[in-house]
Amino acid sequence: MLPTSASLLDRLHGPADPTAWDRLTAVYSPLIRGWLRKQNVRDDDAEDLVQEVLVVVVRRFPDFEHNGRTGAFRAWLRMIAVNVSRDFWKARRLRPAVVGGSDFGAVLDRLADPTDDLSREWDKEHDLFVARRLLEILRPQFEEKTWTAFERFALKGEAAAEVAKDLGITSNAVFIAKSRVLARLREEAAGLLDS
Amino acid sequence: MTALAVHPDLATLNAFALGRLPEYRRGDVEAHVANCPECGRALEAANPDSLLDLARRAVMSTPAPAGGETLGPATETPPELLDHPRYKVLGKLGAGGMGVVYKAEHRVMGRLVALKVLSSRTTAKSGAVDRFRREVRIASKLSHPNVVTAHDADEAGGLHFLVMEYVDGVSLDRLLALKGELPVTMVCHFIRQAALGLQHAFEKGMIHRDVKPQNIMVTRKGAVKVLDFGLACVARDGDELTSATAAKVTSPDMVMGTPDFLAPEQAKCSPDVDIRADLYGLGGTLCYLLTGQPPFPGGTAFEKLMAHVGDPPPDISTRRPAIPAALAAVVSKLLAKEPNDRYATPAEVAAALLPFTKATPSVSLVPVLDAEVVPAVVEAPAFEVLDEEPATPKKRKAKRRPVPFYKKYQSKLIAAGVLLALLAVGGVAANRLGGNGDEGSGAKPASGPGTAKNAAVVSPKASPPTVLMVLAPTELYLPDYTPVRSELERSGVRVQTASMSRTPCVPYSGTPGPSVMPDLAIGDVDPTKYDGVIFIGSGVWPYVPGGNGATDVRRIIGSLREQGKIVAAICHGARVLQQHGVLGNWTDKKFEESGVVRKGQIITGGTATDAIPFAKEVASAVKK
Repeated sequence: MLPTSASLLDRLHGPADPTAWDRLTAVYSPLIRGWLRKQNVRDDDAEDLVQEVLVVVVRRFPDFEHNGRTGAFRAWLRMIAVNVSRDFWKARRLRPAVVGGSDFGAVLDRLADPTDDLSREWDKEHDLFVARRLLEILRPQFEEKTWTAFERFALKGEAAAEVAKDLGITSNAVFIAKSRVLARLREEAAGLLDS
Repeated sequence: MTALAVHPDLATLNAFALGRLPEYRRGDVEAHVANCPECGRALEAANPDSLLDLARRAVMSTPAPAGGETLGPATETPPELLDHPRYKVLGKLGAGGMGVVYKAEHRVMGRLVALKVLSSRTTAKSGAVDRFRREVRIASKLSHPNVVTAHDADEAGGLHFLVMEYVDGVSLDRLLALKGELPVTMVCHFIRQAALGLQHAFEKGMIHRDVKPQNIMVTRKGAVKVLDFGLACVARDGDELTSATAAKVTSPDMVMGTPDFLAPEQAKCSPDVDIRADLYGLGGTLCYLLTGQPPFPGGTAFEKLMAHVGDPPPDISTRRPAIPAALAAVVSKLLAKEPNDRYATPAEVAAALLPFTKATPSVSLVPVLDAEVVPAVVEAPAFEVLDEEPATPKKRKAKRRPVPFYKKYQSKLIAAGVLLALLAVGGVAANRLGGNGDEGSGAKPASGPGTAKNAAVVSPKASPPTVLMVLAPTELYLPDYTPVRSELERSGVRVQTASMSRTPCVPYSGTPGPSVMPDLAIGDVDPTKYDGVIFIGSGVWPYVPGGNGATDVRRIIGSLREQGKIVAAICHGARVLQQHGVLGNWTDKKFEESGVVRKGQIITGGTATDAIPFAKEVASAVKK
């Protein structure tokens, strides 16, 4: 058994892991909330909807099979968000006011179609958001210096020699920092992001 | 470290640079490249990578601001708050007497909060920060639907701020300004709810000292919340006292609150201010909401103070004829000069107002608030559905809170937890028996009269050997931890535990059980006190090089090895030893397959099935 290298998604498939679900909630509820806000769904309604989406995710998760294709989870989640929103909308439990005069129902239809631009936009935002969130979550697991080296060299594209000089380490230590953080990120993100 | 003698091939280096190398191969490659400039050049020129590219774009792009919000630009965020580890500022909500209020989001939990940043002028006063913290601590004990919850007091770069519940609504003064006039029944309903909130605080021994329309919020759904409990004490020279006259006449340390709603005893700087001063403020607020004017609208701040002390309270029925005489009497009683002539408690006020709220079914509040107050809503379809029971009550139930998924497994979890607890207790009991057996065996100095001196001489031997177990803070693997600990204690070895911090270590999901509270934070470990150390997985990331506990681990392992003491690990704990270069050229595959292995003072166990023999080996090693 290799629990250490299990990705978040693998851990969710385990029998009962409150920490994994907490993490999923921490990553995904702000994402869904932000998207709803963008549709001008009001805060209190959005809160109810986020909760409901997560309830459905938890309930249906045992049936979710990762087919190995990039974005399978992302697409699955998008459909749950669409379906739950539609239920709310039909039951008149939502009062969104979509900018541009279009109708919330139409927005949901477009999101249900994976080839629609809006779906693609959603997917793109999903990836950026989840990556940003996972980086935030992983950061405290690393030494300050390791993280800074990774951030400056790998993310911001600064020269390794300069980063090394500022941090008082060797250039090779900078490369090692990048390797360590990326390995950890890859491990955690497996199945959620294209890696 | 085990450095490879030959350079890894280019594909390996590329995979390493991008964190794609399987974990068991990382240690060796890392040890090699750490000191190899040639390989360094290859690492620098690593191929592009889609995940890295995504991570880059993710940190470069900032999330779009939430729509539909009338927040001030985020550029106004004080620089001290920009990179706060816990809160992300979403925008400015407004500015009040004590400082600026921001809407923010808890980075991890995603919860919306309001951050009230104290102005530097407020915090500059001596003792203000201490008083602030003290007041927040008291205020955070308040928990009532009609009180805004204070979560925390925090600091960022010298900036002090209060973290409180985010209320999606407006203050009563703004509501009145937006609506022009409020129905009498609605006003009474609001003030009654505020009184219930004050009653809760009163029961907890707190008074507000600054009750006014600006400090009472109403949410979109018509719930009323009193905010800024305890802050009046900190903002003694509140900004509301803008009149130079008032500032001169009244010592800033004596008078607090807005002169419009200030009780006479507060105006007179009386030391005996109690809950009844809050009731006066509530009366002034009631007066303001009913008539659009505070009790004494005219004049300077100084004249207002004098009016509170000397002028008779207004008869508000002359200002708005629709006000019932009995309600006007309630206002007069609240505004009585003598505290003894007012109501005694907020609960009494709530009771007195109840008859005037009856005509207001709570649903009718919703359209008033929603239709006009909330500018973000363009269309306003049937609001009433909000408070209607939905067709399927079952769904409604689910909607409020996500059912924690583990509820489903609760019975199993409890069963497993009980089982593990029993195992642990069994281990302790066995340990007691075993310990007694040892003492009786004569292996230790006999204890009895006349041997005290002898015992003192051999005191190092007399105390049992002690082993430090370093536990994974997350995904703690109980099938390793529980039997190893029980067996050690059964063998008469003392066990202390350490982890990243003194917070419970969470068990690995596959083997649920109770969390384990470590005895020590790893930073506090004094390695000279132990005869051995054991690392327990699974979540050992913080302990391997690069992790934020790695320095302490290095220190502990180094010290124990220097002293010739035992360094041990089981299962994934062995990764810690491997990554710190203690296991030579072993890969984790190798130690997993090898059962219990002892090499000099290093002991490893492969899997949980080795737990008992592993613990026996460690116990016998530390006893020597």
